[in-house]
Amino acid sequence: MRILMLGLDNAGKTTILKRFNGEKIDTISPTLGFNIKTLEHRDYKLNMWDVGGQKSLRSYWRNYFECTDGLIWVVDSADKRRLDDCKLELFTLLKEERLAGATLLVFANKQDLPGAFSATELQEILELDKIRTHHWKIVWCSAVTGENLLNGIDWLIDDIAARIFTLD
Amino acid sequence: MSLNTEKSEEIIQKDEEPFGLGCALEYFAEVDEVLKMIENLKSVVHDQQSVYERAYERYSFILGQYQEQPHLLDTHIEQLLDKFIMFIRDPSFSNEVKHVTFKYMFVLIKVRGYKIIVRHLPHEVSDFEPVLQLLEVQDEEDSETWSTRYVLLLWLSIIVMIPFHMSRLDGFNSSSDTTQKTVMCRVLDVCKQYAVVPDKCRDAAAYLAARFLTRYDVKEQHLASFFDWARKLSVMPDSMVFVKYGCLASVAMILKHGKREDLIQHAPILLRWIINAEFKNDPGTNIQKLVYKNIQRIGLIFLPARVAAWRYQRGSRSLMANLNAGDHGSDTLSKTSSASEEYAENGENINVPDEVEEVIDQLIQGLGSSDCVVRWSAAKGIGRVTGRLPKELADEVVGSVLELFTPREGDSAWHGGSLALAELGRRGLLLPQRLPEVVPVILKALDYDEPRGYSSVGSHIRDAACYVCWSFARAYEMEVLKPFVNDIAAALLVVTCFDREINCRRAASAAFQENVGRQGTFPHGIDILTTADFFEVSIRNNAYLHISIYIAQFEEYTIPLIKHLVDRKVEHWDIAIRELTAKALHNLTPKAVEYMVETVLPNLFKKTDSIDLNSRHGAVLAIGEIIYALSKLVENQNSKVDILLGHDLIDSSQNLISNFQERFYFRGMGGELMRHACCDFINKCSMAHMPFHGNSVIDEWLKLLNECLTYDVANIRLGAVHALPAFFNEYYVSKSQQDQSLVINKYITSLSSSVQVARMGHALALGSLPSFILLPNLRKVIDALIVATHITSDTLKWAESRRDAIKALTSICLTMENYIQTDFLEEYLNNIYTTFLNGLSEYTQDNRGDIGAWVREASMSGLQTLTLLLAKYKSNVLTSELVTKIMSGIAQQAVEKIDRTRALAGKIFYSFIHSNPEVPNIPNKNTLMDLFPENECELINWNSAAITFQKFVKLIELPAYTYNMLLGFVCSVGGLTETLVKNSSTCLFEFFKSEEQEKGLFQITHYCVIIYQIFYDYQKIDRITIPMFRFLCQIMGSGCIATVITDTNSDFPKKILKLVQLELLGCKNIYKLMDGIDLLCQFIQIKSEVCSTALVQLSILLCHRQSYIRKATSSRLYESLIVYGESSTIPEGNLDEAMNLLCSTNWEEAIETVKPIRNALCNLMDIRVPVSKKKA
Repeated sequence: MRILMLGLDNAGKTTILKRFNGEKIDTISPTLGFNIKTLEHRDYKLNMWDVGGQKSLRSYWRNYFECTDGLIWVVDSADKRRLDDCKLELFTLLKEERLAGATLLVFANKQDLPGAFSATELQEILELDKIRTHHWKIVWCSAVTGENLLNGIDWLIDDIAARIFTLD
Repeated sequence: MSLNTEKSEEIIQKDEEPFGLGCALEYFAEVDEVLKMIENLKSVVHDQQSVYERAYERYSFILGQYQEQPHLLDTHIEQLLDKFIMFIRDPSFSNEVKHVTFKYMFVLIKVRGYKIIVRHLPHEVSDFEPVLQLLEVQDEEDSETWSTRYVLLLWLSIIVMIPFHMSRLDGFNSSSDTTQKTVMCRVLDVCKQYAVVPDKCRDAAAYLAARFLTRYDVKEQHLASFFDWARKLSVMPDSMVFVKYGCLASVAMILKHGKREDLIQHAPILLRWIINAEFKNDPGTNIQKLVYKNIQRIGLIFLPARVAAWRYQRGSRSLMANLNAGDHGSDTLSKTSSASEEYAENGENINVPDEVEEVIDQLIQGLGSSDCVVRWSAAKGIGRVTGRLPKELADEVVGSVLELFTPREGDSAWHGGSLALAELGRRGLLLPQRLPEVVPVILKALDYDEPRGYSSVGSHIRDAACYVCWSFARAYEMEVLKPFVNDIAAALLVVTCFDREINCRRAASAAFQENVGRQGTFPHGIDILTTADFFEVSIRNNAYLHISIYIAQFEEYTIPLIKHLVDRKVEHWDIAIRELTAKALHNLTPKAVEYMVETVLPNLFKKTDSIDLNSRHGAVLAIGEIIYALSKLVENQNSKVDILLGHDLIDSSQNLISNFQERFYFRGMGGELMRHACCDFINKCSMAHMPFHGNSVIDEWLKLLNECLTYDVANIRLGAVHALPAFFNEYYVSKSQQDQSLVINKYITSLSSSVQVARMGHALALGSLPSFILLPNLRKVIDALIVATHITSDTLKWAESRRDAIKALTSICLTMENYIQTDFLEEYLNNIYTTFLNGLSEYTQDNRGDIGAWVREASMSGLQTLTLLLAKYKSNVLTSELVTKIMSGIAQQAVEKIDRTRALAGKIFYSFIHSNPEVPNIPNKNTLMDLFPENECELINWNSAAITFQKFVKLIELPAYTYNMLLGFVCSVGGLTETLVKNSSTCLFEFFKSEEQEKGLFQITHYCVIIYQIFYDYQKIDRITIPMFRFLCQIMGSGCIATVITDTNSDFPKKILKLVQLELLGCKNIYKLMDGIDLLCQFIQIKSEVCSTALVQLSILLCHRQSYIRKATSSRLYESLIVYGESSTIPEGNLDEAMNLLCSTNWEEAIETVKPIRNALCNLMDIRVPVSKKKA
C-alpha cells in the first residue's frame, strides 16, 4: 500500500513517521525534501511517503500523488491561527484527480499540548463532513507520546484493504 | 591459501545445485557474507583478475538465489546500499573501485527490481550535483561500465523528485548569466542522451525522463520541446531501431507518470504522431507493443479517471475487517457506497474528445495484430480506456469488439477479441444486456479449431475464451448470468474433457471452478469440480476416458458432451484424438443408448461417405466402438444387438467395407488409415456378435484382413492380427475343419514368403489363432514357425521376421495352456526350447544396430512363458540340463550391453527364482534366492546398470554360470558407452579382488582359464573379439589379475598374446588395430618373453603402412614405457634413450624414413628387428 503523508509545516509528519519506524524523535528539523519508509504492519507492506510542508514546497506535492492508496493529513491541533490555511490546502488536495478514491485519514496531532482542539472540534472547524468523494476519518493522536497512532493506521489499512486488489 | 581452495570448491559445489529453488528460502541467510564481500571490495579489485572475478561470481550467485523471492532481502537493502553509497561518495576511492561498486549495485537492483531499490537511494539536495557530475563524465560508449551509468540514472531519478525549484541548485542567476548551463538543462541533456542508447541505460533514462519532465517547474519549460524532440527523432529515416524504441519508451513513461491536465494539451499531437509514423508498421514486437501502449495511454489522458461505484461491494477481502465490522458491516458499506455512487454519477457528464474514437479504433486494430504480446497490450488498453467512458460509449466499444468475431477475421482477431472481452468483463464494462450477443460468440470461441496444414490453430483462442468465462464469474450477479449458465457450463466442460491441449483443459477447469464458486448456479458444480480439477485434467487420456464419463452421468451434460465429440472430434486432424474419441464414445454409450442408436450412429454412417479422410477414419472407429459398447449392454439384458440396432444400421454396417472397396478407399496414402480403421471395425463387430454368420461379408472381411497382414506398415499388420482372434472365434467356429485348414495352410505357405513383412504378418497371425483352429493343426503350425526362425543365407538380416515367429510360438503356448498336458508332445516342447535358446545367440546387425536384440528379447519372453507354464503343468520336461541352459543364457543377457535387454533379462531371471509353482532344477537356487530377495527385487529399477551389475556379478563364482557371465561381462566391460563400461568394470574388478582375498589365487586363475576359453571359442568373430581386446586391456590395467599375469608358472599371458597376435594378423579394421595396440602395451608390464613378443609386435606396427597407426603406436608405447618401463624386459640403461627416440621422431613421415629409427629402437629394447615377409 502506498501512503502519502501531507499537512502544513510543523504539523508533525516526520515525527509520526519516525515514531512508526522506531527512530529517535529528539533531533527532528523541518523536512527539506521528502522521506520514504517501508514498514510492515499486519502483514501489509506500507510505503510511507512524507513530504515537507513548507509553503514553498507545497506546489511540488503533486509529484508524489500517483498510485496513492491512502492519504494521511496531519493537523497541528494547537496551531489555531493556521486552521483556515489548513482547511484550504486539504480541500485543494481532495480535488486532485490522481488522489480520487484514496482513503483519507486526518490525524489531529499534538493532543498532548495544552489548548489543543479535540478531534470533534476539528472535524467541525475543518468542515470534514462536506467530504463526499473519499472515505475519511479523523483520529486524535500525539506523535510525541505515540498515543492513538496505531488506531488511525489500523482504520486506514482496513479501509484500503476492503477495496484494493480489484482494479489496476 | 588452503582456505582459498576450500572456498573455491564450495563455490563449485553450490554452482552445481539445481537452479529454480522455487520459494524454498526463508530469510537472507548470507547477509553477513555479502556485507563482508562488499567491505573487501576495494582490496579485491586491486587483486588478481581471477580473485575479483571469483568474488563477483560468488556475490551474484548468492543474490541470484533470491531472484524468485526478492522480498527476503528487504530488511537488509538499506544496509547494503549504505555501504555502496559510502564507497561512491568517498573521493579517495579510485574510479575503478567505483565502477565495480556500481556493478555490484546493479546485481542487487536486478534481483530486487529497480522500483523498490530506487526508493532507498538517498535523495538529499547535496546528492544532486555529485551524481549529476559523475554521470556527465561517463563515457556513453564504454561497454564495460554501463552498470555505472544505469545506476546513476536511476539514482538521479529519485533525486529529481526533491521539492525545490531547480534554479535554486544552480548557484548562479540563470537569467543574467547565460554562459553557464542550468542544472535543469543539464539533466535534460542527460535524459535525451541516454534515452536513445543501445544498452540497458535506456530504460533508466526513460524512467528519469518521466520523473524529471513531469516536475512542476520543468514541464513548463521543457515538456513540449521534449515531445517534439522525441517525435522528430523517432521518424527520422536513419534512426536505428533502438532510437525509435527509446523515444517511444520515454514518451510512454511520461504519459504514465505525468499529471493528466499537464499532458492533455500534448495528447492530440502525440496521437497523430504515433498513428501516422512509419514505425507503426515495424514488424518488431518491442516497437509494436510500445506503439499500442502509447495509444492506450494517450487515450487515458483524454479521459478523467472514474472511481468504480462498486469498489467496496466486491466483498471485503480482509478477514480482520469483516470480523471487526460484525453485524454493522453491511450498514457501513451501504452508507459509503451511496456516497461514492454520487461521485460516479457526476462522472457521466464527462466530455469525450473526438480523438478517443480514434484511440479505440487503433486499439481494436491492435487486437488483430499478429503478435500475441501486442494483442495483450491492446486488450488491456481497451479495458482501461473503456473504463473511463460513459456507459453508452462503453457499450459501443463492446459492439466494435464483437465485430471482430466473424469468420472473415483471422485467428489473431478472435484471440485479441476474446482477451478484450475478458478485460471488459473483468472491469464490469460488459453490460448485462449485451450478454445475449456475447455468450454465443464466446461459445464459438471455446470451440475454435481451424485446421491448417497438418495441425490447427485455435488453442490460444480457446484458452482466451476460458479467461472470458472466468471473468464473467467475477463480474456478474448470479441473476444476470443465470439464463446462460447451462450453455456456458456445458461448453466449459467440453473443453475440460475433450480439448487436445493441456493448457486449454486446465483453463476451462479453472474457469468452471471460478463459476461454481462465485455463481453457485452451475449444475452439479461441486461434484464435478472435485473430479475434474486442475491436476486431474492434465492427462488427456484420463480426461477423455474417465472424467468425461463421470460428468456425463449428469443429464445436463450427457448430450452436449457426446454431440461435441461427434460433431468436432470424430473428424479431428490428430489421429490420436480420433482414436481417443472413439474410445470415449464407447465409454459414454451406456449413458445415452437411445441417442447413440437414433442420432449418433446414423450421423456417423453419413460421415463414412465424406470426402474428408479424417472424418471417414474417425467415423469408422467410432461406429465400431459404439456398436461394441451397445452389444455389451444388450448382453446384460439377454437381448440381441441386431434388435437394438435395427435393420438400417445392421445393413449399413454390413455394407460399410464393400462400399469402401467400391470407392477404392483402400488405395494410396489414405488407404492405410482406412485399413487401420476397418481392421478395428471388424474386430469390434466380431466381439459385438453382429449377425453376419455365413454371410458373404465374412469372406470379404477375411480377405481384407489377409491383405493387411502383408502390408508393410507395422500398425496395419498389427491391426489385422489383433482382429483375427475375435473374427475367427465369432465366425469360424461353425465352419468345417476343411475351411479352417485352408486358412492355416495359406498362412503357413506365406511364412516362407520372399517378402519379410509377409512373413512377419503371417507369423503373428498364426500366433493369434484361437485354440479350436490350432488344435488339429498344431504340429504343422509349430514346425512351420520353427523353420521360420532359422537363419538362412537369404534371410540373414531378417531378425524381425524371426522375432515375430518366436513371438507367435510364445503366444501359441499361451493359447494352448489347457492342452499342454494332453496335446503338447515332448518333442514339440524340446523343439520350441531349442528355438528359443538359439534365439538367445542371435546378434544380427544392420544399419540400425544390434537388431538381434529383438530376437533375444522375444526368446527370453518365450522361455519365461513356456517354462512357467511347464512348471505348472508338466514339470518333468524341465530337466536339470535344460534349466541350466535357460538360466545361464538369461543371466548372460542380464549383463550385456543394451539397457532394455538387460532389464528384461533381469526381471525374467528373477521371476524364475521366485515362481510359484516352483521351476525345478535351477542350479544354485538357494544362493540365488539370497542374492535376489523377493521384497527387494520387486522395487528394483532393472534399467539401472549400477544396481543390476552388482547383483549379477556374484553369479560368476557359480560354476553353472561362470562361462556365460564372463562372456556377458566381456561385452559390457569392452563396450563403448561410458556409464555401461564404468558400472560393469567397477563391479567386476571389485568382485575379482574380493574373490582373490577370500579364495586365493586359484580362483582367479580359474576365471582366467575361462576368459581364455571364451577368446578361443570366438576367434575372429569381431562381435566378441573387439570387446575382448578392450576387456583384457582394462582388466590387465586394473591390476586385479596382476597375480596371474606376473605368475611365471602361468601360461595365461602367453596363450592370450598368441590369440591377440592371430587376431591382428592381416587385420584391416583400424579400430580393432588401435584396441590391439592398447592391449599389446599392457603386456609390457610382464617381465618375461611375453614382453619381448609384444614389443616385437608393436615395433611391426611402428612401421604399419598407415601413418596414423604408426603415430598412435609410438605414443601409446611411450606412455606405457613411462608406467611399466621398469618392469619390462628392456635393459634399464637403454630405457631413457628408447623413450627419447620414440617421442622425438615424427612417425607420420614415410616408412622408409622411420624404418631405420624403428630398427635402432628395437636394438635398444633388446628385441629382434622384424623383417617383413617377402611377397611371393
